[in-house]
Parts: sequence; structure tokens; C-alpha cells
Amino acid sequence: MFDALLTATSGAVAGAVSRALTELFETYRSGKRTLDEIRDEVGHSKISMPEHETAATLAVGILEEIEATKGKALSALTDRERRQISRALTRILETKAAKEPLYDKKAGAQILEELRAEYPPMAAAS
Amino acid sequence: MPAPLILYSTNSWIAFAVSERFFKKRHWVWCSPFFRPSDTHAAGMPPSAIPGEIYDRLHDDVIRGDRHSGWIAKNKAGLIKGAECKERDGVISASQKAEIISAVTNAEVRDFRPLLYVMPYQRVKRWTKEVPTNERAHPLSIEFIIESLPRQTFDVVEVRR
Repeated sequence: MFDALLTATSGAVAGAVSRALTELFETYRSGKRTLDEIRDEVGHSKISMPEHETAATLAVGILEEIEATKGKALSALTDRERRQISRALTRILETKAAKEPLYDKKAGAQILEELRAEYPPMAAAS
Repeated sequence: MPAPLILYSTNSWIAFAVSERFFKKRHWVWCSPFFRPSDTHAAGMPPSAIPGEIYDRLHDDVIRGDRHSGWIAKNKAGLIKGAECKERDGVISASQKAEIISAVTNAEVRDFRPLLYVMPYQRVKRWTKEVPTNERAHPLSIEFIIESLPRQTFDVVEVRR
């Protein structure tokens, strides 16, 4: 399934990673949410944009891959395993982004510097 | 339920800065009438729908310098997805989208420090959309989306530093 991420658009991949991470948070929180329930929700949701539909399908694929690789239910993943998954998904996202036409790491660093100077820390409350 | 007084939303600093510079000071926010709901309301709300919880978790991950934070990864994905949508909607050009993706991909953990947006409901209600039940973090939670919130309609606070 991760191969499918390589051919999808960056938007669909970002959407899939975001959805997969959300589902991982929720399965951990509830302790009983299952992949079947997630599949069911995705199958019944009203998604009008093809890219969103691709993202949802990819997200389910990511979660299926995780269960198959780890050999256990999503809700049974340890904190360490979730962090490993988060790292792997971040890498996929970054690899995908770096293949975008016009992507420029140096320009990105410069923009970040400009933004940090332009938008310094806000007023704090306590 | 009576109309809320205030809406709250937690977003990262980089999301704020990108919206200010690239999206004409218009902000996409997912918000809640509770910063941290009372016990009664909390039962129906998962952490990913509670601005106070999102704030705490993002803050803790940033303080720890956690480069593998799931919350930061999710935020990064959301920003890239947002840039794609804004390009498709004609708000930004292809090169601006690339600038955003380049900046977000290269951002450091500290760039994801949380900011709390505080919005008087009466001032923003014309832009609010209730999140459809099937997209909410929990069917009983109360959530709103504002897709293009003008900067002058909300306050931004860093609760802890």
C-alpha cells in the first residue's frame, strides 16, 4: 500500500497521512476502535472530491499495512510503535513533498527565517 | 444549545504565519465552544477535538523537541494539504504552494509551537459552518469550521512559554 502513496498527488498523500494519524490517536484513546469500524465510516462518508476520496482510501490502506506489519490491532499498538509509525509517515510526506516541481529546500529555509522575523512570539497569558 | 460566547481553536505558529503571509491574512480554523469542556461535555469529546488538549500535547512535544511527534506530523500534513487546496482555489500560485511546502517540510519542531485563537462568536458566526457529524472527532462533540477567517476577528495568545 505504501507504494500507492508514491503515485498519488501530494495533497492526497498529505490527506491520507493526516487521516491515518487521526485514526491512530482515536484508536489509542478509545482502546477498542477497530479497523473495520474505520473502513465502515470511510465507506459511508460523503466525499465529493476525488482527491479526498483517494486520501481516505490511502489512509485505510496505511492502517491495514500497519496492522499487517505489526500483527496486532491498531488499538493495541504501544506508544513506541505509534511514534515509529509517525516517523515513517513523516518521511513519506517529506519524500513526496521533495519531489514536487518547484520544491526548493534552500528557499524553504529562507522563507522560514523571514516568517520567524515577521511573526515573533505572541503576548503570553498564564 | 444557546449560541456560544467564544470559540477556541489551537493552531501551530507556522500555520498562523503561513496564513498571514500567503493566504491574505485569512485563516482556516477548526474550532470549539469549549477551551476545555466540563466533565459532562468532555465525555463526548476526544482529545483531538479539544483545543486545550491539542494545545497541551503540541506544547509538550515542542518543549521536549520531539521530532517524531504524531501531533506535529499531523499538523505538517494538514498544512501541505491546505496549500494544495489553496492553489486549486486560486488563492495562491503553484510557486507559492511550492514555497509553503518547502518551508513546512524544512520547519523545525519549535515552529509548531501552539497558539490559541480566541474568537467572539457573534463576530465570526457569519463564517462558521458546523462540522458534519460524519467528519467530527466524535458524533456528540460540537465543532465548527471557518474556512477563511479574517485576522482582525480573533485574538491570538500563547498560553505558556
